[in-house]
Amino acid sequence: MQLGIGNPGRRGRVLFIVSLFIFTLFVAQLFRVQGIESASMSKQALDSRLAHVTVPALRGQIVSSGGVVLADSVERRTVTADATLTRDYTKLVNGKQEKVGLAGAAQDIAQIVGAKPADLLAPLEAASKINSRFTYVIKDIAPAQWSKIAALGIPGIFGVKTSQREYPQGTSVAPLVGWVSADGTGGGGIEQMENTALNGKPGVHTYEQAPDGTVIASGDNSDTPAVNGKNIKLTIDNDLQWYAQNAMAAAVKKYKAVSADAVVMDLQGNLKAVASYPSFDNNDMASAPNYLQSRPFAEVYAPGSTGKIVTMSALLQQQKATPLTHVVVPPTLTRAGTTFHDSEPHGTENLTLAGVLGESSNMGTMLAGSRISPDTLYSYMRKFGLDRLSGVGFPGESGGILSQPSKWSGTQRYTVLYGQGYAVTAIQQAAVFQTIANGGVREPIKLVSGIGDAAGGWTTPTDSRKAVRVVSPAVAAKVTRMMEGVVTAKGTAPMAAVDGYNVAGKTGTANRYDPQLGRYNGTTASFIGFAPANHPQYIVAITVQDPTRGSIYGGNVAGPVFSQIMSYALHEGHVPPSTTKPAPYPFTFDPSASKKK
Amino acid sequence: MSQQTAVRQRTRPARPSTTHPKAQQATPRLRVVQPADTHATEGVGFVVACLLLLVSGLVVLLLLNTVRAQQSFTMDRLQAQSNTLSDTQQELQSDLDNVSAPQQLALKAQSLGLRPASKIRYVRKSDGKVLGVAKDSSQAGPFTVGTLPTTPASQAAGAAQAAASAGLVAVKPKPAKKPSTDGAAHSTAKDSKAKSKSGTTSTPKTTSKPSAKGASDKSRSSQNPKTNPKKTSR
Repeated sequence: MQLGIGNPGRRGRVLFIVSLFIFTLFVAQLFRVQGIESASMSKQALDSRLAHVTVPALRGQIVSSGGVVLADSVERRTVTADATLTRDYTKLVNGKQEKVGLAGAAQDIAQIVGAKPADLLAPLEAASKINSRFTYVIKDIAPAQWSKIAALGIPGIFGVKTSQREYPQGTSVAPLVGWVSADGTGGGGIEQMENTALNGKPGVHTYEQAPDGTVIASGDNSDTPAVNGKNIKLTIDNDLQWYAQNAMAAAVKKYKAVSADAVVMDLQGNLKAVASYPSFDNNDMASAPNYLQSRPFAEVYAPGSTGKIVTMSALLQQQKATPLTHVVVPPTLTRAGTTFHDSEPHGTENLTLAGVLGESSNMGTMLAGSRISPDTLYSYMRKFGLDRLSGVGFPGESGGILSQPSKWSGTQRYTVLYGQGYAVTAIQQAAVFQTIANGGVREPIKLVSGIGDAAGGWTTPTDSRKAVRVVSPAVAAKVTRMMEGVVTAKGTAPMAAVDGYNVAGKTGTANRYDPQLGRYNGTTASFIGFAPANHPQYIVAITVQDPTRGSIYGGNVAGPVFSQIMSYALHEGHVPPSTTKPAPYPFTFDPSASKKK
Repeated sequence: MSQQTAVRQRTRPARPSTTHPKAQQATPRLRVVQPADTHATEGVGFVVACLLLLVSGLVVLLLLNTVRAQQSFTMDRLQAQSNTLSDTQQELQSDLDNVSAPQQLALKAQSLGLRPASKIRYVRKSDGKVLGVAKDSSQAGPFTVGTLPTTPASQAAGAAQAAASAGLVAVKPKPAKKPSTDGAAHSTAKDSKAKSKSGTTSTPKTTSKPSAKGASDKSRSSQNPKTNPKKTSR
């Protein structure tokens, strides 16, 4: 067949047509790339260069009322490695370029972070063995340390931004402040309670990078900044909190107790200190014990004689008795088939109602308290805030245990009068005394005083709870005067007195229910009171669980601790000493005089 | 239509016969233009202008790119500097928070020989009148610090705590060393944290005060024997 390429003219024409055809293809492709698909093509190219890095948002701070930092987030770096690159690490050794590999890298990094080189080498070698391109080398190092590592120029070593939670106060506020779990959410305490406000929104840093990972200087880069979490300001007075915690630690050791807790609040229900011992170190949750709750919120106990305040207030408010009402207390008393007696045997005593409270006579309380019906007593208990949550929203908070009066057993109707047969939290019981101190008005308990805003100010959190009037001011004043007798030499807690100040308070020694044994064992020793009695500033509640050394009674165990903490609170709060002498009611009456009446 | 074209075709051959003699008669009007006829400079100017435009364009582009790269480097440098500074600030703040924790202050104050005020006098500012004197209630024994962590991460602190709560007064936490170890403890990983903290084990020297315990025991025994009645039902 004749192709005709021998003919120069025809050959030229064929070549011309072929090359024209090829050029047409080129043009078409050019048109496609630059015209039709230009946007998607260039985007694809950019995407291959772009790198996105998440910028972690710092969690908000938790600060005390005075602005002392209780929890803070700090920026940290986690060092990761591509071991397949790192094993080619070379550096100048004695003026010669030498390949030092993984061991050299581990050595250099360890020197900067102060770790053992072997600990860093292990993950690197493990990753290198299986040709893995990712492994963690060391976590949570300071940014300054990372910049030193970065300056070494070790191939395949990267730093990832993270944040770490720090608690400068550690154990003294740990149960209250809580901790942050590995996923970045609050695991307990305030951290959990205010997690939404504390958590920020992470940002993204986008930049162009060369195939080897270096940043293209003239490339595009953009930032979506991270929005840091909001700060939380507590009502807690940091110094007082620590002092209380320290006193609790000392008390547990001194009395060989299981645990101890303290609550300090002001007249408006602002919690000034919430101490709980034994505590834990929230900087190191790995070695924390099992019990991580804040006891004043979470632990329920029979209040014992501090519960008599509710009975007395109800009696006075219902006008069934006055502080001077005569109560003749026999040596023993049989009610509902059970014989009751006081802790110390005594003959028939002629006590006033104030004397019943001052000497903490259970039988006297039963005799006087029987004048009000179980339903009336129950309604007062509820009004005082028992059997309900405080509304603070604290994680793990208990509302206490109190059954309906219709379900009370025969003896329970009487034991409830003196604080046995139901259970409360220390916060609830402190609120009962706050009500009396505040002239009969129970204020809602507050723990958070402000949530930080962008301008650096504080906004008060919204609160739908309202103050409740429980008893009249006159009744509150009478109950206060009755309680002043408790700390006198005749009362149950002279050791709770604070030099220079009039104190009103009440001891409590309750049978303690031991959850491990499943029965009553030991006592709960408590003292709750406020000072100065005529012009109350602070309410302090001390609870010591199962003291076994020295004494088991509230007046002897919790009283001195109360005195210390109250004294410190008053001094620190610049409350001048009381100028008037306390005038407690007489404890006893002369039976011959009353017969004449 | 076909007729018209046919007519035109027929008339065409006649035209050359009429024009040709004329052209031959006249002098030739067209001739090849010589390079000398045009102005030699016109073309050069254009090329030079083009070249200038090209070169200046390239130079400007180069300059702009250089400036941009320069700025980018400057930005990086400043950013790194700002990061370093804020890291330092954070580190210092963290150290400050740690040393200003009340238990650390209490230990430090103790080591300097300070004691809680035993008496506070309240004076009215306006007339200098003494409103009252408040005494400290916790005079039974020396002030102790019992809130230091007991976790393995801080065994040193635990040792200090044990010493403190046993009625001993912690003395001499080497002032120069302490902040730096604290800082390191918080800026490094857990292993090193434990290490650096345990490094301070030996620093708080303790001196015992045996008299203190006896005093507190005495005060306990002298307390009022009146006790709180407790429930004895059931």
